Amino acid sequence: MDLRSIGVCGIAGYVALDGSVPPREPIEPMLASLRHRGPDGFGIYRGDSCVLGHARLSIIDLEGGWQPIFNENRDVAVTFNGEIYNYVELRRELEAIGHRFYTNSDTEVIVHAYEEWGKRCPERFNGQFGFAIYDHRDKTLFLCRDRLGVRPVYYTRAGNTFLFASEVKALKASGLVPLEPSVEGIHQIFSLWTNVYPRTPFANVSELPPAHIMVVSPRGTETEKYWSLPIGRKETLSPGECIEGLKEHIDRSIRLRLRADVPVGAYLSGGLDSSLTTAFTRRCTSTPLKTFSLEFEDPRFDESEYQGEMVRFLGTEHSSIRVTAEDIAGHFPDAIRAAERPLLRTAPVPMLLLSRLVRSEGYKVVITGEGADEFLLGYDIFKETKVREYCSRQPESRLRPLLLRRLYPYLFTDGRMAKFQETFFLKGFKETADPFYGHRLRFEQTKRIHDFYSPEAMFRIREDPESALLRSMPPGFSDLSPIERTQVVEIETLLSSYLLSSQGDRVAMANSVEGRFVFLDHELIEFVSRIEPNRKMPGLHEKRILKEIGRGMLPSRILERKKFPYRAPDMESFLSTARGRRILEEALDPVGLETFGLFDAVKVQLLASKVVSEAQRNGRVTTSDNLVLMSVLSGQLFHKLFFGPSVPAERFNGRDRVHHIVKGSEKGEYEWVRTA
Amino acid sequence: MGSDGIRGKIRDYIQDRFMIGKPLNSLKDNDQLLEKGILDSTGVLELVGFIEEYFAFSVEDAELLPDNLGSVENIAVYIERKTGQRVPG
Repeated sequence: MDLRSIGVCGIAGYVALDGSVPPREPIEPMLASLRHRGPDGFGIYRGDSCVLGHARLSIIDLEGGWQPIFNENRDVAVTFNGEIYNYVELRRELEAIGHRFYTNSDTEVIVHAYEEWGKRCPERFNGQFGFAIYDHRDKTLFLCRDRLGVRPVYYTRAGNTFLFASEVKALKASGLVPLEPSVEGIHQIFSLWTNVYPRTPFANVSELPPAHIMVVSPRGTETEKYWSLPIGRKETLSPGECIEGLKEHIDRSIRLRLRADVPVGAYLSGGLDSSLTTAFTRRCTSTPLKTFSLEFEDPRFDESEYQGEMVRFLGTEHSSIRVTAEDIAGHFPDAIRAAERPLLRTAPVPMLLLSRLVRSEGYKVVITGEGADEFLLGYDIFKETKVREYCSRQPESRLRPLLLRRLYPYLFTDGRMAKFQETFFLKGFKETADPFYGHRLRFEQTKRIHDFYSPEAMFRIREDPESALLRSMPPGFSDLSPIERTQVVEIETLLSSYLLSSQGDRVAMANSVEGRFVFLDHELIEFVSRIEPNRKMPGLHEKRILKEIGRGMLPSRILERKKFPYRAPDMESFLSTARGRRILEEALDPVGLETFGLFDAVKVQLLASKVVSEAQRNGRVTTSDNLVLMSVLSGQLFHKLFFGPSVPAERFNGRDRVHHIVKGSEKGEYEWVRTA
Repeated sequence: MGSDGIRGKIRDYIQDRFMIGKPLNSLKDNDQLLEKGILDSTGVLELVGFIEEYFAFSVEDAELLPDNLGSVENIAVYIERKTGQRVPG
C-alpha cells in the first residue's frame, strides 16, 4: 500500500508556551482558510499543549495518508507540506538503524529522521518543504523550511500561544491575532521589491527564512540556519567537467522529482530552461508528457511560436491559454490575495491562470525551470553589471558603452534613444564597491515610489531597507566580485520571496498545483556554485553551459534565442480595458487612500490623471509612472483585501472529511475520531 | 516669450509631469534630468512630444542627445537655437 501523497498541502497549528491546554476552536478556520492548498481532507491532532493541523490533497484516495503522522512511541508528531525526494534512501537507512514505519509516506521519514538526528535532520533531506514537529518529550515545537524557500512557513505569537501556518491567511483566521499592516515591511517591498526575512508586510507576522529551523519551547525561541549558499569557493573545472557534471545533476534532479506516482506535466515557456527541463523529462519518463504554456494576446510578450516549435520537436501533448489585458487586470486582485503582499508587477497573474489550466486538465504536479537564470547567470542584470564594471575600468572609453546596445537591443531599437539609454545605464557605474552595485539602478528607480508617501507615513518609517538587506547578506558577501554579489542578492531575495512565492508557490497552490523545480536541487546548486562566473557567462553569453548541454537536445532556434524575460503588461492592462479602469479607479479612491494612509491622496490623483491623459494621447506610460502607479494600486488592493471589511472566516462544511486524533490522557493512548 | 519664459515653461512642464510628489519648485535649470532620475528614456519621448507640439518644430533624430535635452538649461538653449526666438506666447 503506497500512501504517498503529493506536497500540495497546507499546514497550521499552535502551541501553548506555558504548558496549558490550547483552545481547540481556532484550528478549524485556520485549516479551512488553506482549503485551496489541500481541499481533500483535514487532519487535526490535539496533544498535551499543541494542536497540529493539515489540509491535504490526495492523489490516491486511501484511508491512510492522514497527517499528522507519528513516531513509534507517538510522542513525536509532524505536519508536513512538500516533498522529501530522497525518502526511499532515508527510509532504508532509518530502518537499518531500527526505526519502524507504519506508512510508505515521505512524511513518516521526517519523524524518524528527527528522532535520529534531532534538529540536524533537514541536512539529510533533499526536497522542498515546510513542516512542524511537536516533540512531547521536551515540549518543543520544531519548524523547518527547505533550503531555497520553495514552501512557506509563517509564524506569530498571541500572548502565550505560538502559531504557525503555510500562509498568513490561516494565522488571521485563527482569530487569535489581529492583523496589522507593517509600514516598514511594505516600505521594504517598495524599495527592494521584496522583504528582508523575517519581516513581512504584516506587523505581527514573521516568515521563517529559507534553510532555517526554529525551535520553540517554554524556555524560549531559537532560529538557526542549517544550509548556506556556497559562495566564493571556485574551482577550475574544465568545460567538459562543467557540462558533464551539470548534465548528470539535471538528470538526477529530474528523476527524483518524477518519483510522484501521478501524471506529471511540464511548464514550457519556449525559453532555454523550460525547453531543456522538458526535453530531459521526456527522456526520463515512458508515459505521455503533457506540457502547458502561456500565450499573450499582446505580441510583445508572446512566445507561442517557440512553444509550438518545442511541442512539435518533443511530441508532447500540449495545452495553452491565451492571456488578455482584461484577464490580467481582472485577476490582479486574486494574485494579491494569493501572494499576500503588494506586487509591483502583474507577471504572477498569468501564472495563476496557467495553474488553473493545469488543474482543469487533471494534473497536479508540474516540472518547471526556475532557478537556472539565477544560478547559471541568465538574467540581463548580470550582463548589465558586467558591462558597467567593464566600463568603470576605462571610464573615458567611448567604445565600451557600446556593449550596452548588444545587451539591450530592444531598448536600442529606437536608435534615437541610444544616448539616453547609455546615460541611464551608466549612472553610478564607477561605484564598483557599492555592495548593491548590480541592483543600484533598480533600487534608485524604485525610490520614486517614496515621493508618493504621505507625510505621516514618512514619519513612521524608521528602518532603511538597504541596511536591513545588507545585514542579512551571508558572510563573505562584501568580498565577492560585483557580478557574484548581484547573483547572491537575486538568490537571497527575489528568488525565494518573489519568483518562488508570489510567482510560484502561491499562484500554483491557489489552484492546488505543485511545481517541482529541477534547478533548485541543492546538490545541483552546490555543484554549479563551484564553477567560475566566466565559465557560466563568457563575455555576454548567458547560460553557456546549459546551451552546450542543449546542443543536440533542442532545436537550434531555441538554443540561439536571446534571453526573453518573462513579463506581462502592467499598467497598460488597466488603462486599456474597462474592467481594468474600474479596478484602478476604485483602488485609487481618496477615501481608501486616506484609510490606508501610506500614500498621499492628492499626489496620487495628480499622477493618475497625468498617466491617464498621456496614455490616451500616445498610448504610452513611462517606466517610472508605471512602477509608481502599480505600487499604489497593489498597495491599496493589498490593504483592502487584508485589512478591509472582514469577511466571516471560512469553516468546514458538511462534505469535508475531517480526521481528528486526540492524545489520550492515560499512557499516551490515542483515540481516533472520525467526523463528517 | 523671452528666454526666461522658455526656461519657465520647460521647468513648469517637467515639474508638472515628471516631478509629481517632489518638493515644489525644487528643479534647478542645471539639474541633470537623467542622472537625477527625473527623466527616464520613456520620459524623454514624452518631453520631446511636448516640445514638438508646444514650440511647433520637429526634433530630428540626430538632435536627441543629452547635450540638447539633459537639463532645463540645455533644452532652452536648444529650443532657442531651433526657433531663433520664434516662440509662441
